[in-house]
Amino acid sequence: VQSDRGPDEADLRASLEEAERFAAIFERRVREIHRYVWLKAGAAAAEDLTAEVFARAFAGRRSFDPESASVRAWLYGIANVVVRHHFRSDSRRRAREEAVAQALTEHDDGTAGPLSNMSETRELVEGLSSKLRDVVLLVAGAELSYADAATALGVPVGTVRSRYSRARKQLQRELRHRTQDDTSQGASA
Amino acid sequence: MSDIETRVRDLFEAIPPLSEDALRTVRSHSVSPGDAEGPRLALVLSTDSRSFADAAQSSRRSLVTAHRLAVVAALAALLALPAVVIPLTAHQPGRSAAKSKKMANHTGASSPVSGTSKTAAASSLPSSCETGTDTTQPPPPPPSGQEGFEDGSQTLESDFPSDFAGVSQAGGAFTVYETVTDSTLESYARSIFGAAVTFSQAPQSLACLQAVYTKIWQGSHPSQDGLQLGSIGYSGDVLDVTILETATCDSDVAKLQAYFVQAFPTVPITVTGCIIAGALQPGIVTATT
Repeated sequence: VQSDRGPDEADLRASLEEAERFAAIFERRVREIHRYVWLKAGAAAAEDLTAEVFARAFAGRRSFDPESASVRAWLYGIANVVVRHHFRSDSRRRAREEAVAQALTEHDDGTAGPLSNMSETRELVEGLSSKLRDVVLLVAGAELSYADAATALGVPVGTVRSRYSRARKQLQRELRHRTQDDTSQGASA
Repeated sequence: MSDIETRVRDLFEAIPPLSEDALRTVRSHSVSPGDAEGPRLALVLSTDSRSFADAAQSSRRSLVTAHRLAVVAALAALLALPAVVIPLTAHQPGRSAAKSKKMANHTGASSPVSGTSKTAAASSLPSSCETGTDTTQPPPPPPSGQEGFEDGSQTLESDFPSDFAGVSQAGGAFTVYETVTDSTLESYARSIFGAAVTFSQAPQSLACLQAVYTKIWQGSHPSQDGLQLGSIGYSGDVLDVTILETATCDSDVAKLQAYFVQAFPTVPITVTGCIIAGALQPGIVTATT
């Protein structure tokens, strides 16, 4: 996993003089940010929240410090803030749980959704605490470096390492249990 | 890559990609009406020649989103900060002349917080914002360092020192306002802004804004579902609040005004609405204590 430095940072710098250059960052990153927001907030809110991420990034681009973070990590960090603000109320948070769970497996019309064949992975990831889940989504899903994930989450890099380690152990343990259950059920049948 | 990582990566990749239609929607919603220094992002990203106003008026959804993004632009002046940032808007883009005049009359001078020295700020302040006797609303939220969610996770804001009251920006220079001198905060701020940052003691009314801001975002203000805070700032010794709304603007202005008066009775407050599609409309409703 590599820390991304290069075109994004160059475009962001250039966008301070020519705002149009920000469009390149948008085109390069909007899809992955949308995926991340989708997994955290559900399909219904993903488009609006993704737009909000880039609006915030654009408005705050002068404050970006290339010495302390990559643009990519910065965008994921903004995404975290946007999603958290969106789910500040209990009702929205509850709705999120339901929306994500349903959106992962079903379309609005009740037919099988895009992730219906990944229900086990979804259950495993959803079974993690939000702190561990965020790290897993950023490091394993978005393939951010530990350092970039730390920036995105606003925690020390050591915290990311330990959370990721704990998450992996928990996921592997859960996966082993499931495999054993399947095996024993097959034997008894 | 382990099986676990492969599975999670596959899950990530399985999220349906944005369609061209959806991408267009995201582009048109990515507006930044509060960004005075450059073109709006919608125009930057626009693949056609539609103006932001056209895009915003093309659907109710766009309009609602534009409002929310106006909130974002107003509340997130320094978005690289993993923290609650309160914009210290000395002026609202598009504020009417009447409003400006009214503010000037009220305050004597409508000066930006960023231009307020520590001494001047302290001497021109309301006596306290802690004398609020809000009996109908929950108490103000704890300092940001104590905020958390039900699952035990902390918000990003919780990492920010609690003595932070606000930030203003003038050109490339930043002023960070503290409720009390806080070396942790100053060290944190220097790590973000570098040598360009200076520190000043926050006016008491400004320190209140953090509580007000958090309270509103937490949904404990009178009309959470129908009202959006546009900006909240400090001008002279007046808290200056702008709300965003469409249909129920008049009543919401009155409601919010009543709320602020009750919560902070000693602080002069001006509440202004509405902003439609990023621009303050003629015929705005203004209430001033």
